[in-house]
Amino acid sequence: MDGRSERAPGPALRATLSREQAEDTATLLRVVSDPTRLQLLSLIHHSADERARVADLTRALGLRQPTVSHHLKVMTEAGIVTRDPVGREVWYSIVPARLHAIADLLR
Amino acid sequence: MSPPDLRAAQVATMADPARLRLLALIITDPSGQPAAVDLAGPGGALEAVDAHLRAMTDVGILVRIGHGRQARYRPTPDALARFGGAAIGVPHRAGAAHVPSGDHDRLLRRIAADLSATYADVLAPETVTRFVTDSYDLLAARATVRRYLPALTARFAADRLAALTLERQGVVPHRDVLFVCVRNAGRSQIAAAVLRSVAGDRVRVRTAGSVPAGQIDPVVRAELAQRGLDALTEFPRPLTDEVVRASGVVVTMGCGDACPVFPGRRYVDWTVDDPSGRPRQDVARIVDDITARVHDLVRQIDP
Repeated sequence: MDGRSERAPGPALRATLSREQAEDTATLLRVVSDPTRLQLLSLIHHSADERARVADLTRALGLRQPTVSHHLKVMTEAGIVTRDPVGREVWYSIVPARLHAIADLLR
Repeated sequence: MSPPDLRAAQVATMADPARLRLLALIITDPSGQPAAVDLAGPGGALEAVDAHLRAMTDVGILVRIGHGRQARYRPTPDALARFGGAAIGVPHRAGAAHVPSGDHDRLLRRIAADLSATYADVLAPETVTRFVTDSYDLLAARATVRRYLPALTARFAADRLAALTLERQGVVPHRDVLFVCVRNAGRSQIAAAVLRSVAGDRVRVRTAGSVPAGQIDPVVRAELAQRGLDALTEFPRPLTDEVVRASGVVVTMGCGDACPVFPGRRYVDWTVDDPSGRPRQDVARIVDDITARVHDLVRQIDP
């Protein structure tokens, strides 16, 4: 709860969502507000062990590999997905701190 | 729009801090369906708020009830499922908004101050404060999740004060209906959801329980949702005198003896099975039974 909303007039509980929290969530939503990115997140979230490789995602969506890699790169840089190299493969999963917010969007 | 595209459009629409904060206000609004002017606050930017509300309505985040200046807004099931946690701060993750219990006193003082301002002409601030504290205690005694107590208290106290005011003014709207069952988690919630969908704004609907549960029965909630009758923003409330006094029609289900009797009210007792702990098919049958009874009731009170 920030000081500004604490002083704001209006209905009770005006401060349930602080400015910083609203901006943080809005940034997350902006990055994922794309049907393909939401589909990628859904595939990752519903895969075994909640992780997937670029090849799995490319095959499932019928998209080109560079397209999938680009979306994953953007979402990795935004702290939404994380890449985990295992041997010669790279597994992508949803960052745990973002998991519930993303799972809500996929409902 | 296909469902994946609609979802993406909803996410894009809500990727705006002002809209997330508006949704938080709408979800926690004491009336459950505020108008734009309530959300803008005194001297607020009404035009900007209006534009946000329209954008959110266009993608199925809000439902508009009524027209023009009178229009009120309610969150849709999509809004609650997809953005409710983000908006009212279910503490899913570190840093997410939530209300620590220690802050409840401070929030209760604010709720009391806001409601005192609303009722400045009709009720003393001491009365309002007493109702807020009492409402909090009644809900806290049974709450399994303390996090939502201030938001629930704000709505419960606002409803009780509205009822108290009507009663003091000697107005008992004959078509106002109160549904009472034991837990306020099944039968009365079903009846209220059906009546709201049938009668809309023409009838004011209230619910209460003689021994309220911590939350609405999940099977009941699922069955109602499947029929497009959502009770998502409702919660079990204790039975209090003033809501009985303010209702013209009181329907009891399995708790007739616990309900105080006041003259001038029409009391109806329905013998309906309790859906608690029943399988889905039984719950569906109970919803059918209650739906038929509500339709009969509407024919009598709202011809």
